[in-house]
Order: sequence, then C-alpha cells, then structure tokens
Amino acid sequence: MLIFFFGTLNSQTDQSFFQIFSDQQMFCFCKGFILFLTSLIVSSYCCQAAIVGIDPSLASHYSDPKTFTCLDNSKTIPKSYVNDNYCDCEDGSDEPGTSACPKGNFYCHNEGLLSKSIPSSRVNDGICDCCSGEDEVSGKVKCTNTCKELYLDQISDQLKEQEIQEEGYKLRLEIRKETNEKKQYLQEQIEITKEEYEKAEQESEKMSEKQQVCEKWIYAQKKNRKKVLKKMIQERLVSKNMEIANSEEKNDKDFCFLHKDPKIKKITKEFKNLFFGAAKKELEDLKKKIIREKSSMFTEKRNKKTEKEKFEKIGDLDLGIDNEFYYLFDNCIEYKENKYTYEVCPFDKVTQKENGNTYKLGNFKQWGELTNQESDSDNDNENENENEKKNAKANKEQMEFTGGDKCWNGPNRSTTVLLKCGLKNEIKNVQEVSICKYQMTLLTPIVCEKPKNKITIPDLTTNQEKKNIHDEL
Amino acid sequence: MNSTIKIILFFLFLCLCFGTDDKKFKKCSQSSFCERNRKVKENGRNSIFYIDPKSININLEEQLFQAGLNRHSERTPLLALSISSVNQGIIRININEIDPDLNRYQVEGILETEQFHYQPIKIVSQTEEYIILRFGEENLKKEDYIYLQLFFNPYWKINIFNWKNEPIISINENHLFNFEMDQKDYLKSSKVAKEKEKENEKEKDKDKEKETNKQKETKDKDQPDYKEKFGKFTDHQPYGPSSVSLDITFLNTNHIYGIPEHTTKLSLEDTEDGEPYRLYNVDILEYETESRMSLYGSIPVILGKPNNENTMHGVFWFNPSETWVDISTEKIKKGNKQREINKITEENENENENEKQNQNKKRTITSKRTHWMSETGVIDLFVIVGQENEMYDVFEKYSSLTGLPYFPPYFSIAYHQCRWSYKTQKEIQKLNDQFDEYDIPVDAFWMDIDHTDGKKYFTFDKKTYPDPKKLSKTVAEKGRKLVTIVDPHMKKDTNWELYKEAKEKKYLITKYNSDQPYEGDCWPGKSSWPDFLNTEVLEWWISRFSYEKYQGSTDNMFIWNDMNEPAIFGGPEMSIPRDTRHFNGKIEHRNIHNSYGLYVTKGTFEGLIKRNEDQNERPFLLTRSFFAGSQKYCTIWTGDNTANWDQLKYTESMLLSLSLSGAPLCGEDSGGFLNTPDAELFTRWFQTSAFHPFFRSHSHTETKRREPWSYGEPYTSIIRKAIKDRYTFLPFYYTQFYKASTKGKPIMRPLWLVFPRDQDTFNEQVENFSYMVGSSLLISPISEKNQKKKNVYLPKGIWHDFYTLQKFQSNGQYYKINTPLEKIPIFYHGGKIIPRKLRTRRSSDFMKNDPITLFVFLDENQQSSGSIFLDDGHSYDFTKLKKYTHQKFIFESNKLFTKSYHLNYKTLRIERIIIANLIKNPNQVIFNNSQLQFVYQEKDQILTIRNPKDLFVGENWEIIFD
Repeated sequence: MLIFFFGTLNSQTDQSFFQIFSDQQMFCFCKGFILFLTSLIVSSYCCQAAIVGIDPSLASHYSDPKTFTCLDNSKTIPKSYVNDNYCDCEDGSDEPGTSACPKGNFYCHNEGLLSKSIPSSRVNDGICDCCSGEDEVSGKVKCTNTCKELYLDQISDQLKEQEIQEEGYKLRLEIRKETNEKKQYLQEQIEITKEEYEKAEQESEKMSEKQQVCEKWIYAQKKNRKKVLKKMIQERLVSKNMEIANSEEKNDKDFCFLHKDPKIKKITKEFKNLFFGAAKKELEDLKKKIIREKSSMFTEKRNKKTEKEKFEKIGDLDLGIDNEFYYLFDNCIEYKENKYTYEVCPFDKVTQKENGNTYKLGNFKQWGELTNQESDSDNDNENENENEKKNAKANKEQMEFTGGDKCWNGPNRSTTVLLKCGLKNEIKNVQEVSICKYQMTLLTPIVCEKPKNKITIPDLTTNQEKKNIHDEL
Repeated sequence: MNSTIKIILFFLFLCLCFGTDDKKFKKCSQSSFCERNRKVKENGRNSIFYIDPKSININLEEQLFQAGLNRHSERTPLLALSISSVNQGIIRININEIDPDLNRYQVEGILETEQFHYQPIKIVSQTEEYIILRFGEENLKKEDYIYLQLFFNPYWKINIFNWKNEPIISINENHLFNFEMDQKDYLKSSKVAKEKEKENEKEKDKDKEKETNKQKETKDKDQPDYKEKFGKFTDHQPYGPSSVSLDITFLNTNHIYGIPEHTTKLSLEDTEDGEPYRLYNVDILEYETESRMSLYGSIPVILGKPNNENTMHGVFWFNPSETWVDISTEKIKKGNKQREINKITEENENENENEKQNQNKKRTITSKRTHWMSETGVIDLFVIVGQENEMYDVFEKYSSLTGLPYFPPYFSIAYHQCRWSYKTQKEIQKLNDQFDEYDIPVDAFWMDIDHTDGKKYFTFDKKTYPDPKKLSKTVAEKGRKLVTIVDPHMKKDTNWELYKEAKEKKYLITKYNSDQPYEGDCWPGKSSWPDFLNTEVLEWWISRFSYEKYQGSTDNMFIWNDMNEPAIFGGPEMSIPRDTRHFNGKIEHRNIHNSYGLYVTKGTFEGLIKRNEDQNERPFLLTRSFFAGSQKYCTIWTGDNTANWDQLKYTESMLLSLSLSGAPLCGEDSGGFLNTPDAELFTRWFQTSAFHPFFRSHSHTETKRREPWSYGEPYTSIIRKAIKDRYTFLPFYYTQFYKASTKGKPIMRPLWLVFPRDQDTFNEQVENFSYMVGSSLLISPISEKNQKKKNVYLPKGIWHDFYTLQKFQSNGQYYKINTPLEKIPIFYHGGKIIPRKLRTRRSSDFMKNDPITLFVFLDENQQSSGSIFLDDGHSYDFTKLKKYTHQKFIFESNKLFTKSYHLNYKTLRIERIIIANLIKNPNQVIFNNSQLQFVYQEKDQILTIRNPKDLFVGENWEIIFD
C-alpha cells in the first residue's frame, strides 16, 4: 500500500509540484494521507474519488486535469468529457463510471475486499453488482452493503475448504506412507508374481509332459492288451481250428460255434472286463485324475497370470508420488440417486444399475482430458505411445472412462470422473452432461493439497470504527 | 439415461425412421381427390357448369350478386354463385350447393366479418354472353372501382380488372372448376365406375346382368361405404367425395408468391412435371429443402406481382381442408383478351388508344395459372386488388379479412434461449447467471416438455421444477421472462383432473364411428385431443390459463404451442385421422384440419389475456402450426429444422414467404434444431437470425448443449456481437412490429417489395438469399461454409456499410463484399432514419430508459425519414388509453425535424445523432437557439452530434444545419 501511494506521487512528478496540491488533489492528498494513517485499505483508491469507476491500476491515465487520452490512444478529449455520460472512446475508457460505453468497464472497489470489474452496462441498471452498491447510485434501487458478509462468507467457505484441505492433506500423507510402504511390496509383487507365474507355467508344462507320458502309457496299455487278446484269440482259434481240422467228424457247424468254446468265452470275458469293466475304470480314473491335475494347474497358472498382469498394470499406471493413487485401486465407491445406483471403480470401470439392469458407463481410459479424436475412437492403438507420454503429465484430477455399453440409438456411454479434495472417498454428484456422457465428482483425500497461503480471519472493523479507535488513541 | 428420455428417444426413433421417408406422406397420386381434380377435364362437357342468365339476382340490400350454376346435363341449377365486395378492393366469390344432402362446413371464427364494409354493386352492362359489375361507393375516385366481368356460357368465367381496365385476374378461365356433390359423382369420375360402364356397354344384350348391375349400384347408393386407403391406414368417407377445385390466373404476371409453408424458393414454381404444392398441416421431422411437400402450417394465399404495375394482387382461398395447388405458366400473344377489356367501361377511349399502340408491339404476355383443389368444404375465394403504386396495399387489405398481426410485448422481439430441455430449475437459474457472466443479453428462457409432470401440460414436475414461481421471480429480477410449452395433446390419465373433466364433458375429438375420444400416441403416451372448434371447449381451455388453475404459472411466463398440427406418433401422416369427429360427431376432422392449430392458439392467446383481471397485458405466444388468421394470435417458427448449411440458406425464403402471406411475425430455430452445427455454421446462423423478426436458439435433446458461448472464442465474441446488435436495433424493430400490427406490413421483405421497379431484385439469388428489414436495412446472410466474399446486390441509391458506415453509391449493381467470420453483409438504406439504443444491457427491459441514438442516412437528394413508436412495451394502454408516442423524423432542406402523430408517452433522451452522406459540412448546428457540439468527418461525410442537451424523443423539435 505504501509503495502504491508513493507510486501515485511519483507518476505525477513530471508535472508541476503545485499542480499536485491544487484543489481536489490537495484535498485528496490530505484526505488520503489521513486515511493512509488510519486505514490502509481505503488509501488505495482515495485519490481518484472524483472519477467514479476506474481501476486503481489505471488511475495514472486519468490524472491530467485538462485532457484525457483514450486508453486505446484513439483520441484525446477534454477532461470534462470523462464520465459525462456520453461515450467518446471506442474502448469505453472515457466513461468508467457511467453506462454510456458499450465496451466500458466499471470498477467495484468493494472497500478493497472483493474488488472487481463489471461491464458498464451494469451501472445503474437496478441490480447491485458491487457488494458495496457503488454501481447503483441513481436511486433506482437501494443497495445494502454486503461486502463484509460476502467476504466473511467467502472467507468462511475458504476456511472450511482450507480445513478440509488440511485435514485431507494429512490423510493423504498417511495414505502416502502406506502406499509408499506398499511400493516395495508392489515392486516385489511384480517380481514375485512374475516368478510364481513362471513357476506355474513351468509346472503346467511339466504337467503337460507328465500327462502326455501317462496318456501314452495308457494308450500303450490298451494297445498292449488288445494285442495280447488278439494273440490269445488267434492262438486259441488256431488251436481250435487245428482241433476241428484234425477231428474226424468234420463239421462246418463247429466253426460257427467257436464263440461257444469255453476258452474263447473266457478270453471274451476278459476282454470285456478289460475294456468295459473295473480294469478299464482304473485306467479312465487315472486319466481323469491327470486331466484334473492339469486343469487346476492351468487355473493356477491363469490366476498367477492375472495377478502378475494386475501388478504389471499397477506398475504401468501413473500412481503419483509414492504410489499414492494405489489407495484408489480396488476401491469401488457407490452412489445412489433416485432409482439409479452408480459405482466407480477407479482405474477399472464405472457402472450404473437400474432395476436390476447394469450398464457399463465406461472402462478406465486415462488420466486427464480426452482429445476429440480419442473420444471418437476408442481403440486407437497408434496413439498409445503418445497417450502414455500424455499420461505422465496428465492432470490427476480427472479420470476418463470410455467405451461403455452402447446407448440405444446413441454413442457408447462414457464418464468423466473429477477428483476433488474430501475427507473420505465418496461420490458427490452425478450429471448426464449430454446424452450418455456422464460426469461425476469424486471426493477423496488423495487429491488434497497443502494450503499454500493460509487464510486467517481478517480484521473487518469498518473505517469509521477504525477512525474512532484512532481518535480515541 | 432415465426412462423418460428413453421413451422420447423411442418416439423420436419412430419419427427418424419415417420423417425423411416420403412414403409417410401423401403424393397427389395417393390422394384420390387431387388425382381426380388434376384430371377434371377428362370428365367432359357434362361436368362443366354454365350460368343461366335468368337465374341472376342482385340483392341490393346485402350488396350481393347471385347466380345459379347449371351443369349442361341438368336443367336446374345445383350451385349458387355469390359475388360481393366485402371491403373496398376485395371481391368475395362464394360457391355452395343450393340444396345439399348434407350442409357443407363453413369456417367460423376466422374472418374479421365485423370489419367488412360491403361495397355497392352496379351493373355496368349485360349481354347474352356476360355481365359487367362495378363495385364501390358512388363517390369513389375512378381508379378505386373494381370491375368484374362474368361470362355465362359455355362455362362460367370471371375476369377482374384493375384501375386501367386491364384484366388482372381470371377465374375458371381454364374451366378446372369442380364441385363434387355426391357419391354418384364419385362413381362417374372414378376409374372403377368407368370400367363398370364399359362392362355395361359390352354386356348390353344381356339384360339380366344389366339389371343386377343396376341393383348393385342402387345398393351402393343406399349404403355408401367409401374408404380411402393410405399405407396401413383407412380413411372412412361416409359422405362420399366432396372436393372443390378452381383455376385462378394471374394475368401478365411473371412472379407469384405465397402458400407457405414450403421449403421451396420464394417465387412459386411450375408444378406440371411433378407434385403440386401441398397444404396439409403435418409434423415432418427432418424436412428437406426445395420440397413442395406440406409442413406444419398453411396459408392459402397467393400474391402476384403484375409485370407492368408496381402493386400486388392476391387471392385467398378460404378453405381449411387439405389443399393442393398446381402452378403453371401460360404464354400468350397479346390479342383477344384485350378486346374484351375494351368493352368494359363507359369511359376508356384514351386507354383504347394506348392499348392499340401496345397491341402493335405484339409482345408475349406471361401469366401464372394456379389450380386450387381442396378435399371438401365450399369455394370461398377472396380476390384482393392492389392499388396502383402501392406495394403494401395488398397486405392491409388481406389483414382486413383475417386480422392484423398481434402486437407482441417488447421482450419477445429480443433474444430467446431455448433447448429441449433445460431439465431442472437449477439449469435455468444457472443460465440466468451465465448470460451475465458472458455478458450476453437475453430476454427469455424456455421450458420444453420435460418441465411438466409426465407431459401433462399445465403442470410442473415437482422434482425438477419444485418452485416455478421462485424461478420466475429470479429471472424477472433481471428483466427476463419464462416461456412454458403447452401442447394440445392430453395424456390419457384418469387420475388427472384435466383429462377426466375433458372426457366427462365430451370435450375431446371423437372416433369416426363412436362417441368415445379418439386416442393416439404422443409425448405422454396414449393421448386425446380437445375439440378446440367447439366454443365451449375453447372457453374451458382459456380458463385453464388462470393463475389459479395453472398452478405455478406467473404473469412473467408466456406460452409456446407445439405439436398442434396436431402431431400424432404413428397416426396417418403423423397426424389425426381425417374421419375423426368434432362437435360431438357432427363435423369430420377433414373439414377443418389445417385450421386446428389456429384454434389452439386462439384459445391460448385469449387465456393469456384473461388470466389477468384487468385483461390489459399483451400475450406472447409461439406456434408451430398455423393457418390464415394465426397472425392475430401468435408468432410462428419454422419447426424442426436441421443444422446444416442448406437449411440455413433456405430459412430466408421460408420466412419471406410467411412474411408475404400475412404472417410477418416469424423466425426459425437459430443454429438448427436437429444435429449439432459446427462452430462456423452456428456463428453464421446467429448473424442472420439476429435480424429475423423472431430470434430464438433451440436445439434437440440429443445434440450437444449449445448456448451462445458453447463454442469458445472467437465464436462467443462474434455471437455476442450479433445478439447485442439486435438489442441496439430494438427501438427500430419495435416500430416495425407496430407497423405490422397496424398495417399488416411485413417486417422481413424481399428486396423487390421495396424496389419493385428494379428487375434485378427478382433475380433468384437476390430474391431468395437476401432481405430487407422494413425498408431500412439490407441483410445478405452468409450461408456457405468458408465464404470469404459475397456478391451483394445493392439496388440503385445510397447505401452505408453497417460496420464502417462506408458509403456505396449504387447504380443497381453487385459489390464484392468481404465476409470474414465476424461479418455478414449488412447495409443501411440511404433515405432512412433508424432509432437505436447503443447501450446494451442484460435484457431489453433494463434498456427501456436508455437514451436513443438516431442514425440518419441521407439519400441522393439529401433527404431522409424514419419513425419511432414507444409505449410501455407490455400492456394494451397504447390502444385503450392511447398512451404511446409515434413520431416521424424527417431530414430535408438541411433541417432535421419531427412530425408527431401522437405524443403521449414519456420522453427518451437522444444522446447522439449520426448523419451519414451529409455532403456539406455545416458551420453550425442549431437547436433551441443554441449551438450543438458536433464532429464532421470529411472523408465519409458523416456528422455526429454529441450529447445534445434537452433533446428528446416524444417532443417536437427542429435542428438546423447551417
């Protein structure tokens, strides 16, 4: 404030010294000086009190008592044209305090609390745009000064926000610790699961070999038995044939009744037993057992693979400092609104349930915003490398989920999840921003930031009150 | 996606499936009466009507000429022809059955009959061949009389003459007159009958069989059972065919206009090779350009611009049943006709000589023949004869028949923001803030179907719009309004008090064969439609708009009637079956179809007036369906257009056609309703739309959200500028709306209406793709992608570029104008004074006390004029208490002064006067004996008066440029 005040003086040094102390300015200077002593806030705009609506940072342009040059340098006009409710400058700079210029701006000082610029068209339009009511002096409307309340509201909102941020940030640090501890574990897991998977793979290979051997053996067994049988039958037949042939009472009929031959009968029975009975069952069981073993081996291998891939995926994911976003992994959050139940599984998918029907609202695609191309085509392999690069830098306050279930007569569903600081994981709201395009706000401590400038409750005693205090002093 | 959207989408899908499909809508060949009437000449001599002179009767008391029309095959007249002149310059020709089996439907409640001043009839001469009548009071000027020549035989025919005794319009010249009276006619004309007859002839010998045939015929007659099939629909026609048809020729005319609503070019094209223009109100989704298929509304009016006169003549075919119009061009050598003219009047020798001279030149005369065919009803035709050198006379005369356009409240001529739908109250509250955030003015937010409780109109969804009154108050704080949709379909929901009442009291349109309400599908599912023709029903509908009954509504809310064709999903041609019944079964819907939408708006309009105790607030109402007379009640928009360049291009000719046909209050969905426009199209659309009479952005629920800022920079800034430009012109526009409501003058005009002598203005490109606002602004929209330059035609005179005030002195020539994205060609017309308000605020209401800037554009003679109308912008005080100011500004002889018609409203300060094309730099500018500050730019010859003290609109003054 001090610097500014003298800055104003400095800017006038090229003019006559007396000019500074002439009339209004003199008054202003004095007033400003007093106010400077009493209130630092007020001093910042005191000297331009005569010219309504100017931004203090542009004050020097209005200091010439005789002429004014439009800020766009388009023309120079007599000083009396400034704020005379007629627009002379194309850029509106000659009418900072009236609504005369379509392109003008009016500066609300708002007691230095929430100062801002508003379009000139809002001057004397019947709506109190400045909390101080500076913009409404025509009497169309009586503005109550709400700056203090507004400021306090804003401050208290900010304080609340700040509290949540602080609290949340603590949580985040704790989470980080955990995730950081898990970092090692995760790294190890990648190795371990990889090893385990390889082991399982080896074993399943072994198993396959074993099975092959076994099957071969069973096959051989079967084949062998068949052979034996065949041989036995043949032998028997030969001997029987011989018997018949040698018999004197040669009877063709006898050939036909070979099967009734007790020996052959016995062999047949043996055969049946071998191929349909207990012996066979034994072999079959053996085979089944092998298959069972093999399939469980395969399941294990598959599980190990999933496990391995999961950890690999985690490894590929950008999980931020100390792997902190691992906190959201495997952590699905539900939200109910009317008849819909939404579920967000970060890094995985978003779903919507309605009367027992489940619709997928998207699979995790990436951090940060999608470019247009991406949102149009979901399987763009060519850009994958680029995407990865982008992910590295992508903002971690937005997750994109794409390629959900196709909408009837519409696009595939997709969802944007915005991450905002909160003390626990919860969905704050869900919006369908356009047909089948959803947007959710997810509160989570994992994005809470350490408040940069700590807000404190300011001293809001009014100037008058301050003055009183000063007087008392 | 919630389930309601799904339902909507489902219906939408139905629409999408069929909307573009021509097969969904009838062609002439699929409409039996169109087919029959197109071939009416094939019926031969027996179907031709003539007049027996003995039947002529002039009823002097009623100022009515009557004659009987006889068929050559019959001795007694079957039809009565009545001719009268209902107002000066308007002839009414009415043909009805003398002794009908069933009384034909005659329209009620549309004509302004209390405004009729029947003109005296005088017989000028009568021969065996013809009779000549003169219409007009005895003391009229010669040129104000209208002469009519009626020929008797071999077929009746009428010629109507202008002030020069030249025939301008000829009726039944081509004897296409047809009047189907009973089933017998139908049998005779239908092919079936012809085949039967042939069979009869063949089997002449076999008497027995002949007898059975006869029996069959009589049986048919006793139990008529006529049906017409179209697709899966059957139209029951228990009264048999009853179509009417007539040909009307605009003589010596190259260009005829009218019969909206079509997507064709402005000048009506010949239809001989294809489909006639169709007038049958239907809901077409995804309509296409350059099509003569019917759309949402119909105005059976055609205007002709005669080749050698600076005036317009018109015909109004007053029939609300389905109507087809064939157009053809007739080229004849000057000759016979001219002789007929010469016989006509008592005192025309001078003209005779002129004519003879003309005759020597032997030129070809082009005429336009129109052939009107309506499904049923009577022939009730109005011929409007325009006054010499009065291009706008025809509009005023037409307004005297069907009423002047309503004068809408001020807010409604500003910018409207709409979408299907802003789904919650919060969304609209957010918009209300966003428009301020982006510094874009807006006057109304619209609530489409989803704001209702289950598409039951007159209700609000409790979940999404819990407190509509609060919402109304919130937007009202910024001077803004709300518009809610009220469609005529009523959800079949016996728990809904409104439906229950309507059903119990038999207020609903009934089925053709029972007294049960007809039911069809619309947004809410199964629905029925109130019978708005029944005055009791209309009164009931009117009462529904009271604040008490329409819970949640406020005086800050206005109404939008959509789907009032009526639109019915899965109905024949997406509408209601023609055989449904009105008036408790008495009247078939086919009789009134095209006027249904009008009656809906009539009820709504009166509801909006009567909801206020003092009945002193002007309604605003938007409609999709319309008929002749709708202009009294509502603004019209062109329905569900599509976001593509082609549709943007044809918007102008669609709006111009409406403007010429007595419906000047019209606009379109800026940006296109269906599909999502790209940023350039969206921007270009806003640039031209900002100059249309009605300016509203609207979009389909499946498209991307689009508010003026949706496309980011530079588009937002360009669109902001377009909207703000509109706001700066509001005082000028409001004056144009006032003129429309008092004289029926179009607001949007084709160039030729302002420059009728300039043949180039009839050029297709000029006529269709540029327009004037009033006679002061010329707009040439950009409707092509990436168009960096446009050839713009400027009629002879002085013009000033809107953006730079650069002067163009045109000899009637084309200029290549740069059109970067920020610009579409806009020119001020030299000779016009335009009042503007350069301070744009949140809403028009917030600008009501802001000062005026007068833009004075001098013509070649250093003259200029223009006017302003001021009132409170919302009440009827301007008519009831005469609280208004109507003032003319005139610049001539180096003086700018006022001429006041009426000064009875508060004054408005004039903060600036810009005079362009002021050739001499004055030494001083004097007002009230003191000098005014001014700046004169030699280069552009522009003088600006700066901040004059005590200069007001609403006071008389004079400024001298010395």
